[in-house]
Amino acid sequence: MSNLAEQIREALRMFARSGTAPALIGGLAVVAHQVVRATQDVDFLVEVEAADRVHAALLGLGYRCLYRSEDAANYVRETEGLDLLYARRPLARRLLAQASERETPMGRMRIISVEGLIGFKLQGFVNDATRTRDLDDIRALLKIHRDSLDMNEVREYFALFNKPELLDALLG
Amino acid sequence: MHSSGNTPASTQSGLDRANADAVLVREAGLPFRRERGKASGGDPFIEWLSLMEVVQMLCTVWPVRDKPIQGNQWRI
Repeated sequence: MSNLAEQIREALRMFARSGTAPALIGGLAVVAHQVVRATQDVDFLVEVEAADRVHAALLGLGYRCLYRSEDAANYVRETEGLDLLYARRPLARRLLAQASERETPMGRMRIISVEGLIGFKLQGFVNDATRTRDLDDIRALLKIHRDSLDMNEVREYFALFNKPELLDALLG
Repeated sequence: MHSSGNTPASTQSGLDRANADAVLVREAGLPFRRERGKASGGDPFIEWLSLMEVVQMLCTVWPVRDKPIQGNQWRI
């Protein structure tokens, strides 16, 4: 198994020891939803109540905390990175609760819904407009899941960030 | 162009001219897209791991985040 896969497997074991069950978000969740692309982004949505426990556990695994706020945290360990978003608002808590569980080569893990993933990708882009990769991911997810997406939910995310016209452009 | 009466290839193969054109279009005109789930058992993670093996061979130093997550619009 590759170092990357082993890193994820180790993180999943750490989460289990910490008594929390995060959901995969970010580039790897995009892969999980059938848009296979190169990425080493390891991103999880974690319940905010577990933030301190997970922080201590990651430091114990040799990660260094690059940044931590009430919304997010970044950790690095040599060439490996791991990012956390904290589910503390009702919307994120609901998405975390509704995440589906799947058996993967790295172990059993929970994965955010396609609609929720689009919402988080949009949030990432709104926060940093240089992250055009997020728009590419949204466009690909909209295309490949067009027949099954809950478009009302997707529209709510774009309305939340005052970007309804962006959704029209991505769908066009 | 006419084929000889001794070798009615299109008739023998069951292809009329319209079908033959369709084959040509399919082979040469449309982008190939492998049907998912046939080669790897349908697991996108397995496809991703295979992809990353090659990527890591070609790009041995992958960019690591050197700046924190930016922005102040956290609404989800």
